[in-house]
Amino acid sequence: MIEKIAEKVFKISKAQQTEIMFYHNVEALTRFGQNQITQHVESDNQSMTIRMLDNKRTASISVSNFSDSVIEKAVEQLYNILKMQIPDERLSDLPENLKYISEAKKSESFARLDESTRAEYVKESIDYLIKESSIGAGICSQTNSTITHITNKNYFHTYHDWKFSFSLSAKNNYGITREEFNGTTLEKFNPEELAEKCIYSLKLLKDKKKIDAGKYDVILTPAAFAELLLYLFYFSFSAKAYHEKRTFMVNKKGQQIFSPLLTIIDRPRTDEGPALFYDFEGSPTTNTVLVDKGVCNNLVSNKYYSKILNIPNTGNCLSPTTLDCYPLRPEVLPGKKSLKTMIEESDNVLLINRLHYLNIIDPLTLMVTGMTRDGVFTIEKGKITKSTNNLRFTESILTALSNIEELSSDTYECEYFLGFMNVPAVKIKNFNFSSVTDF
Amino acid sequence: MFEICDKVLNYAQLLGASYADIRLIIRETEFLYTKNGKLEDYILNKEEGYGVRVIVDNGWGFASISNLNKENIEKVVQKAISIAKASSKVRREPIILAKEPAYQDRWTSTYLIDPFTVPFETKLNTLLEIDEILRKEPAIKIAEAEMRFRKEHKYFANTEGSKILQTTVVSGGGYEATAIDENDVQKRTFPMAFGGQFMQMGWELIEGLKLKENAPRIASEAAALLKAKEIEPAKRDLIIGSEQLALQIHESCGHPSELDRVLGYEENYAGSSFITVDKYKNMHYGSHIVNLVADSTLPNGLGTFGYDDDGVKAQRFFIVKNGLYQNYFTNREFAPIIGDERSHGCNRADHFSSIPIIRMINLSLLPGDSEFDDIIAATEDGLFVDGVKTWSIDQMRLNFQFTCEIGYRIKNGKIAEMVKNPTYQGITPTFWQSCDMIANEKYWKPCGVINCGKGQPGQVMMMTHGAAPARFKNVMTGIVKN
Repeated sequence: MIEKIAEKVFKISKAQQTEIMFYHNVEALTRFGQNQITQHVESDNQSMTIRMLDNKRTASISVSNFSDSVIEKAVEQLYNILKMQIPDERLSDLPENLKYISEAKKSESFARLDESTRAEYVKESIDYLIKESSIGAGICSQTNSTITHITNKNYFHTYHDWKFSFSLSAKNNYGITREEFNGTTLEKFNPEELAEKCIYSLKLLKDKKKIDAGKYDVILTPAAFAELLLYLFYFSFSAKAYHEKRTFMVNKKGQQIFSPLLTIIDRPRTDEGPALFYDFEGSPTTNTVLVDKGVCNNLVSNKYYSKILNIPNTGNCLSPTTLDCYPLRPEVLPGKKSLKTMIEESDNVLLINRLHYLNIIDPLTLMVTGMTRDGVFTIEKGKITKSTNNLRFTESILTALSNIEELSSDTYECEYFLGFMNVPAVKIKNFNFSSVTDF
Repeated sequence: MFEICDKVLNYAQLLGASYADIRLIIRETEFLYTKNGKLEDYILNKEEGYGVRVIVDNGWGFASISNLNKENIEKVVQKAISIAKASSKVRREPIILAKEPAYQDRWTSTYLIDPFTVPFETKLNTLLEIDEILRKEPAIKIAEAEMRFRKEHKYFANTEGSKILQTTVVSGGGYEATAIDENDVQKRTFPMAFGGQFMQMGWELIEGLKLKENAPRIASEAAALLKAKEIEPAKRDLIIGSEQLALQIHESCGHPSELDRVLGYEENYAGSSFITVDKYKNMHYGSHIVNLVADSTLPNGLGTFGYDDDGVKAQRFFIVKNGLYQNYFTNREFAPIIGDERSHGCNRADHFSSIPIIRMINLSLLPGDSEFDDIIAATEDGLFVDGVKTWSIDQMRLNFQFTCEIGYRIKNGKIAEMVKNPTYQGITPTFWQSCDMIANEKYWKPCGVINCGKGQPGQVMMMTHGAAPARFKNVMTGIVKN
């Protein structure tokens, strides 16, 4: 069907160069609360963006109705818009002469997933919680998406992405905890094991201690660390942001600004799960070292901004219309000790299970604010001793990453814009908590 | 279109559904976005599809499809039924829907000029003219402007006999000026952040916003913020402008009043609420001058409709009256759990492929009786803030911290110097109980929100919050860095 739509668009387009980006997303999600399934949905959505390029002018239009009349009107309107655009000499031609279909090597367990298996997973986790007199809430979701990029210059690239997520919150009179599993394969997934972990943490919540705002040494679990890193990746490494002078990289590129323990690699060409070999401008993707032992050396770029900044094109274009570029699949290299050992070797440290509702105050210092949630624990002489009230942090991510003292050897897949990012736990000294909440 | 609806509902009943509804939607959207003199993004979309919701064996199921081909009807209904049967295996309580009459009705939002009849060139030229004005200020390195329009026909039918067609037109737009120097990035927006002002109106809204007239002021304010200082952290009296107050209402009153949150059904994701069921109609939420009204009949509001996505008729009710907590946002499924006989009509979905969930409708702070100048004059040591920049609130909706676009010190009853990154933090009930002055109806302004996220899979909903500037005593202001 896609080829036929493309053929139709290319036939009626008056532009020299035309491309379509076809998006198909099938998402199924089982949601539960109060130990029962409350929402259970499946959706199947398709849409398409058409882009034209003519005499260094470009314009695009999106539709999700593929009838002849809608496509004809859209193509005609787009050509009229194209003529009104201002020429830009730095625009590149559309990609040509390539056919690449990424192979979807899904595990058997993923392929077998349906509404019944999702409900069964939910039941297994809930049954465990009920035995422990706790209340469960969470989701079990599966997503299959395909992006197909076709140009009238004999270019065809299909990218398949799929993922499975299960998150579980357990609540009793002591409070609430949460565990999650994310992945592209289910071989290591065990809903009962997640429930068991939740119950273990719930029991730790029993002994409470009220603490005040201030600076504390903290250990962030991978889920908590990933929340901070999302803001680093969104605001910092884009060549577009660098050109517009709205990232700290403008003043700090090439400098040692983070702890030498920190190395981050953008690795879209992975051997496991969905891999992205060409970006959405048709450039080959590359594995890029973003932070090398604390030094931020590289930006991620696309054709347009690599020309402007005279840097290599790393193939990180996520949108050929807005020319945004972000890390595609970042990975924080692990440390040497397990999270368990890190805890055993710590004293007077707070263990933070998750962060909540972060937002950026200053894009240049990456000053963010947010809350802790689902478990804050005191570690004294190598042991988790008490749980505390939740706290608000207001901290510069640049400062926090320069204060890293240790990273765990065990890493986890955490939610990212495109697929997942691989993240360890982290120990950070002097983390700034600016206020406390009532629970 | 009701022919498709009938087929869906009949087939769902044939397969064993004790209840079924369908929302069939045909939606046109247009989005123009300019950046530094160029049309950077344009979306003209026409989409159509439907979502089917069923109850089978006491389990919910939902499936949707993005076309209206009749040959897909059976497949979509079968999927919804199959999902409901799977759900029923993990269900402990019976699903009881609050009673609501069946309606056969049509409802249309009010507008004068259909924005889809306005030439593309007119829209683009308006944005480019604004862009040019903003970039006349040398400190402005990024000028962004946008317009969005939406026209939607929504057909709702259920197995209880309702058949409702609603047509809605939404328009809006605005701009953002970003000033950048070696040490800082500061921005100002107009009329509001996140795309501008939006209402259920036509092109006449854009014409009335005075976008171009305000552009020089906005650009110069953004530039001035680069030279402004942050305020030292301390407790002060805080005066909040309408736009920021709209967000304060949204986050600290709107979301915690959504009954699904209160009951724990959002616990795993967005969180729950401090307004637990034991506080229902039994809590001092704010000072006696605080009156917060939910209203899906508000003229031109983004949360205005004839009927919600449960088929419940639009209503107006108090959330907080004279400072006392009164009502939650409810739907047909959850209203009976707290003993309410009827839903307040707050079940809403953002798309045909989304399931309806409890969402706040329009929620506004009623005006007080003060002149704005009198509020300033009555403030010895304070801070005036407005414009949304950063927001964050805990999962029970108690501890919040907001940073605004712009602030001014108030000293001895007079507006003094500009302040950048003006930040304040508080605990919700303490904060609203400290409200001691609200400006009168002359200053009351509706603010359209188009980016309210909730639910899994994520949904983005629209609503309007009206407010006049108000004063709050003894609030923690400034960024606490320890």
